[in-house]
Amino acid sequence: MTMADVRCPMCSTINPADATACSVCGARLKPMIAGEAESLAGPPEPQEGEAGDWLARIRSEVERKAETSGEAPPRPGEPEWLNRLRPASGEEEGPPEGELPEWLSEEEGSAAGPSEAAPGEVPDWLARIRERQKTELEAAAEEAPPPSADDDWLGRLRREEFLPTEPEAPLGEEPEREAPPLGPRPPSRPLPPSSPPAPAAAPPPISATGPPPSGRIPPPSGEKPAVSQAPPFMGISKDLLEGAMPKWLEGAGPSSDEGLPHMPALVAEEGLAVTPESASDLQMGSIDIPNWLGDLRKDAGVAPPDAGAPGDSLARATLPAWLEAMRPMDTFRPVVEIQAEDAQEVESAGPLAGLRGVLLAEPVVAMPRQPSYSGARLEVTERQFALADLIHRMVEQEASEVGPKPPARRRLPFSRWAIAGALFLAVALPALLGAPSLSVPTLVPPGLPALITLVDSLPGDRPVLLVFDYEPAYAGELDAVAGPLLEDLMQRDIRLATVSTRPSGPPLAERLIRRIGDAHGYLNGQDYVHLGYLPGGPAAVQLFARDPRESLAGGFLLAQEPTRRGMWSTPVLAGVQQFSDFGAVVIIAAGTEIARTWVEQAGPWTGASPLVMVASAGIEPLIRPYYEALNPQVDAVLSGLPAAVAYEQANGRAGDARLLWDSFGTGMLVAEMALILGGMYGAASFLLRSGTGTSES
Amino acid sequence: MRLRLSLLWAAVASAVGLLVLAGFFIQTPILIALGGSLVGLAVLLAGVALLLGLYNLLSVHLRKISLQERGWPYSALLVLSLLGTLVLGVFFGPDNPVALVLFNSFQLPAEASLMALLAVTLTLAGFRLISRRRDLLSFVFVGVALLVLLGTGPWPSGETSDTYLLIIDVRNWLAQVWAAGGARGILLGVALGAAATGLRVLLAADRPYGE
Amino acid sequence: MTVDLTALETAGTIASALLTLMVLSYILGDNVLFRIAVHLFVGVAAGYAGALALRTVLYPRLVLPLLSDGFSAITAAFVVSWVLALLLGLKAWPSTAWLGSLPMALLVGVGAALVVGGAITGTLVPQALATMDSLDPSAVAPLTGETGFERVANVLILLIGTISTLVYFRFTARRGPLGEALRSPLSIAVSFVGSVFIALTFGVMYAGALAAALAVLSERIQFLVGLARGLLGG
Repeated sequence: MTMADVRCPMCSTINPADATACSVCGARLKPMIAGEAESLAGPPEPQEGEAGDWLARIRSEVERKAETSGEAPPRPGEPEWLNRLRPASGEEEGPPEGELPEWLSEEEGSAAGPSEAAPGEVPDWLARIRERQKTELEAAAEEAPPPSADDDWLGRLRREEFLPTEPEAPLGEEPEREAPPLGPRPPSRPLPPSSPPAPAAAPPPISATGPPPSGRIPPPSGEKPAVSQAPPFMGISKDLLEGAMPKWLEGAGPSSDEGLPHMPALVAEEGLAVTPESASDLQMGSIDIPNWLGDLRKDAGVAPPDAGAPGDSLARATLPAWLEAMRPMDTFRPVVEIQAEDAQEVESAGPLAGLRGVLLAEPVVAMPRQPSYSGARLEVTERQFALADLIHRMVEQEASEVGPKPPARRRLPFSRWAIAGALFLAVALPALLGAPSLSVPTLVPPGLPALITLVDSLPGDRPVLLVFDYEPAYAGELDAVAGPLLEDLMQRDIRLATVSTRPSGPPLAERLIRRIGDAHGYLNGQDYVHLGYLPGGPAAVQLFARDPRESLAGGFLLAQEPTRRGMWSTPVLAGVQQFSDFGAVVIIAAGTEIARTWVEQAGPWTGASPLVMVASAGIEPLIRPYYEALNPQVDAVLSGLPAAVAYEQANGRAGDARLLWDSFGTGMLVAEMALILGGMYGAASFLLRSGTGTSES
Repeated sequence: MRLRLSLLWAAVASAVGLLVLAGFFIQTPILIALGGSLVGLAVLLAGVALLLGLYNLLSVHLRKISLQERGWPYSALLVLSLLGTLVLGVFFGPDNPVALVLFNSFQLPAEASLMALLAVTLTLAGFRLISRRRDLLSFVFVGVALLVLLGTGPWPSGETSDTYLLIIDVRNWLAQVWAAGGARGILLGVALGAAATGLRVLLAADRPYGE
Repeated sequence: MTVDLTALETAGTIASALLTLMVLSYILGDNVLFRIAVHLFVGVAAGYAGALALRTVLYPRLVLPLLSDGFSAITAAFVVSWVLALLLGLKAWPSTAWLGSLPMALLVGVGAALVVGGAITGTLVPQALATMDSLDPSAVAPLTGETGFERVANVLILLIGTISTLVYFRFTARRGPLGEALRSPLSIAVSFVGSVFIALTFGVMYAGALAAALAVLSERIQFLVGLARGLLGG
């Protein structure tokens, strides 16, 4: 773009410097007066910015024009605004050749001759204007520009400059022309992206173009226009100048039914005319309207002529490249749809009343619109989408009403009853009937010989510590499992000392030792002693292992007064000063935790004394790693009823383990059958289901 | 003030714990003596803590009785039995014959019977597991359990049959080799977890003793 | 305290049988008898434990020294024991519970240290050493006396079981692009093997627990049968 190029104020298209209308949207690039001045005075003046004072410009151009044309300065009494009127540009296009409207042809016809006005009644300035118009019209007729799609109604106005000032000089418009809005010339700013096609540049306001001499309509700038001479395009009729009412306003008057008075539409579109109602609102008594406006009323109801070729219509405004780049794609949906010219409504209020295609300020403002820029596209990952969908479903579930749950049908636990009945029956049968009598296990468990050997090697002069750290719930099993070991110890007359870190330990110890010891004549205080109970779990074990004498303050079922000295002075504990003085430590436990605690806390303090674990069958797998090592922390393990039965067999004395063996065996058989039947049922149901599914498919 | 107290408790726990822990690795007389004293205090306090738990149990059930909540007669029975046994044991000793009869006639049979119910529950659970779930781990679990049970219980046809001997061998191999490997891994994992938890307490990262 | 032990024991035996039946009635469903038996059991157990703690732990340590030795028993350790015990007792009331934080801190600190020390010196190091020792080709299986290839095979199985079980308990993973947990295929495979070993171990433990429960059931049923026989048979 060079300094001489002109940017269109509506669509920002770069146009040549000498262009008066935009080649894209048809908007007027230069004011009328300025254009007139340019066409008469020579090269056009560069426009100074986009917000120049249009009125000052018009004024200066009029003066320049006046100086150039040698016209007389405005006479006193005449409005100054006439001097500032922008002369019509001779480059403005007129109607298509051969398609002049009636009113223009009448004007042409009448233009050829001298005006009908009485010579005596026409002011000199008006006469000069008419002369000039005639001259320019002839000149313009010779070099009439080809018709283009950028016609505007102002162009037609300018052509009338050369027409005689007849009141009937209408200012019609070609059908394809869009009605430019009347009003101040819009500033040359870039248009919104999807704004409707920029209409033709608005002509100068009415007040600047054709105020009446009486000045009812003030000019926009507040200055009293100087009317030195009527603008040539105005074609102001003599009647108007004389103060007579224009023809088209005849019969029109203020209507009491109407509200505020409206400005009459100065431009009549095809098919659209100033309605009588709108026209009647005008108080035209003091408004001198040019003659060319007179036929607007006549044209009311006339069907618009053919719109012509599509190429003749006003082109859609194109956005400049830099604006196009800013346009957010697919984010802005214009609420206002651009309708065809024919479908456009006629503005019925305000200064633009009677005009078609006027931008609807009120509806647009009041209409909810999307923001013109809604930001970048939101990037959503699959996980985020999945999470959002999950939340959406959760919210939907929350909102959905949950029907009342039907009362749960009470189901009888038949399976539980069946298994319980079978187990109870199987366990009770040997006790009730003495049958079946199952054979005792002949296979010796792998660890039993080592235990028997260990017990055989225990010194007889040192007591063995028995730790009763199990709950009464396991008494049925552990009493039977520990029984043969106690039998073996008692057979060797080894003294026993018991201790426990559980409150139920001492009474359990008393119960077991008393039951087994009665047969061996073991007495409390002589052959065995209960050291009592130590609370605290690992702390108790650690304390006892560090210093057994100081840790225990009171015993259990002590024959003597429970003083610290009394308990440790019994013959049972003779020679025991520290933990390693015990001949062996036998831990009877049913829980992995307590067994592991004794191994961890007391193991380092046992010294050479063996550590034997009598464990419930359920925890044996977790104790075995301490035993199965090249340097074991547990020297022997006795676990499970079969091992106890085998131990009793080795002792040669039947004990509780043998008594329980038959019931235990039948119970085990029932449990095994239950598992096998469960597997068969599962396999059968699976096969049936898969078979049903195959047949259905 | 509150912050300072919580820091004081954390300092006490850490200091005491680190002293006792040091006694595991450094066998010096002073550490052993200090550790012993602290452990002895812990045992005494554990006894007091047991009584605190007893008091809590009493207060809960007494509240239930006073408010006549649902099941309050059972709570009354519990409170009566608790107080009766406590008084009897405190005044006449826990090793007096009546207390022992109470233990042998109420606590032991009730607990043993609950354990006996477990036999029914475990058998039923195994039946449901194998009949409803059909995945590899369930098969391994129940299959191994069945093998061990077959090798543990008596064999109807006697223990001389080849089948029984085979089952015994498989059972022993599973229990002493395969299960031992898993058990050792479990033990190591449990020990690691316990050590980590204990260290968190010693380093005051966890403060279960209150503010 | 002189009590007719025979009558007491007889009454105790009958109560024992009744309680056994009341608890076993849970097979039919939750009922009043079961609830009575359970509440009685809890009350007796709690009361007995309290009595045992008072008589065998607190009394000998806090009261008996004063009674037997008089004021000479009042040492620093004795006073500290009393103070700490009283402070812990104040934890029973919310308004004074904060005073019990000091003895609780001591208790927790000592317990944590014992657990850590025991885990390291009693399980971690010995078990790791045992695992390494088992790889010694010249070693003999302590339990079965196996040697040679059979022992090596067993040791390998033991080693694989130990390592895979430990790997199974590792639940940390990298975060993937979609937020899912990412683990290497090797880790997943080894974890699966570990889960098989764990299932196998739990199967053996389940069988042992069932055997223990059956033994207790047998004992209870035999007790009832024996009592019934005694009552009916005279």
